Order: sequence, then C-alpha cells, then structure tokens
Amino acid sequence: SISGTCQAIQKLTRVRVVDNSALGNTPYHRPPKCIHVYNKTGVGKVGDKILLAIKGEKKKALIVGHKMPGPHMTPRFDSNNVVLIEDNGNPIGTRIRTPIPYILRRREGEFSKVLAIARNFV
Amino acid sequence: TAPPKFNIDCVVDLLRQENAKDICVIQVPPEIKYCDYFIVVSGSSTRHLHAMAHYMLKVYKHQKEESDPHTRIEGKETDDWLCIDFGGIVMHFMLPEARETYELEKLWTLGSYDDQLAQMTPQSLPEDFILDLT
Repeated sequence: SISGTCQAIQKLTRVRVVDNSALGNTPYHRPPKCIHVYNKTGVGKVGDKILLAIKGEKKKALIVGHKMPGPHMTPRFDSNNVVLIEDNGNPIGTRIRTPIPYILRRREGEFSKVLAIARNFV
Repeated sequence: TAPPKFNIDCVVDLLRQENAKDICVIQVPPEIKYCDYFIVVSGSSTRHLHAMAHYMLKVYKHQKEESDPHTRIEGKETDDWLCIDFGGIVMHFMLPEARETYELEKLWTLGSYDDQLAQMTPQSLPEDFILDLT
C-alpha cells in the first residue's frame, strides 16, 4: 500500500539509502524502514540519527534530506534520504552522489565525516 | 602577539613536529563552498591520532580568541577516524587502513572523475517513489 506525502521521518517510514554501501544497494524485497528516531520527539529532521531495519538487520543512519519543507532557505528533497552509519559514527559507504545540505555543518553533531564523503552540496 | 591560527603553514609545521605520516593538504576551490583547505593525516596508532587531535585543539584555543566559535573533535568513540572542523580548515586524522578504504584525497582532487563514484553509477529511483509536485 502506498501512503501520501511523508512528513519528515518517523517510525515505519520507508527511506532511501543514498551512499554506496553494499547493505544499502543490494536489492531486497522490503524497502528499508525506520524503526526508531533518536530524538525527544519521535520525528526526525535533517541531521538526526535513526535506527533502520535493512535486510533483516538493524543499522543506525543519519537523515540528510526529507520531503517535508523545513525552515526558510533550506533545501527540500523529493525523497527521504539517509546515510548508513555504524554505532561509533563512521559511515559505512564511501561515496555519496546525492546533494547534501549545508545545514549539517552548523548543527551540533558528528557530520564532518558524512560531508567528507559527499560530492555535491546544496 | 602570536600570528593567527588561520595559517596553513602553521598547521603543517605542527603536524610535522608531531611525526604525522602522509600529510595531504588539498586546496578546495571556492565553488565548493565547504572550506578553504582540506587536510588528511595518517597516524601510527589510535593514541597517536587522539594525541594529535587534542594538541591541535589546544594550540587553536590558545591562539584564537573571539571570532570563531568553539570547535569540537568528532569521532572520539571511533578508533580509526577523527576529524576537526576549524571553519576554514577541515582536518581528518585516520589510520592508514581507513585512509585506503575511503580515499578522501581522490574524491576531493578528482571531483567527478573519481573512480569510486563511477563504479556506483547505476542508481535508479526506488519502486515506491512518487514524484509529488506539491
């Protein structure tokens, strides 16, 4: 079943993995879904860590773009983009093709690694 | 008074003092509005990386006074990749194995002609993607 436009990222949202990790790119009969958002509210915005269920495994991930319009002069993406991360913060993939928003630099958190493997910035 | 920490020469001198291996400084063109200089350094062990990162931060805090906000060390829980973002300069401390895996220098120098990027070209939209023109 297909629902309407997703508003930010909550539990059970289907996300799109945008890095070149093996776990994110091998096809599976179920799309990767969010099962927990590491936030006081259950809603994840750009720069929040979430727990993803991919191929029957649990992996942490970082949100790099969502469909919901954010603050003024911030980019809005057409898909909920996510980058896979390990528990210690190291990204699992080595390159990211999709554009990554600059707001990640301002936010408190460990984003320099994700920005270092990204190619385009928005 | 001591010269400001902006100097890339100052940073490279300190890294040479610390016996850092393979110091790689890449000047980033201003079109990529990320930083001016991108530095990748290898260390011999986890303790070496931690020591270098903390020393850099200490020197920075000693010399820089008000203008730039506080910088933090990212990757303290990891044992192979640490980074510090000094605004205009971004430094990455990695172990040689991590450096081989990620190949950051290739990405930032070659740009679109990077071979890892070329290998991951076949990317299509997922099946449940709906283009909503809201």
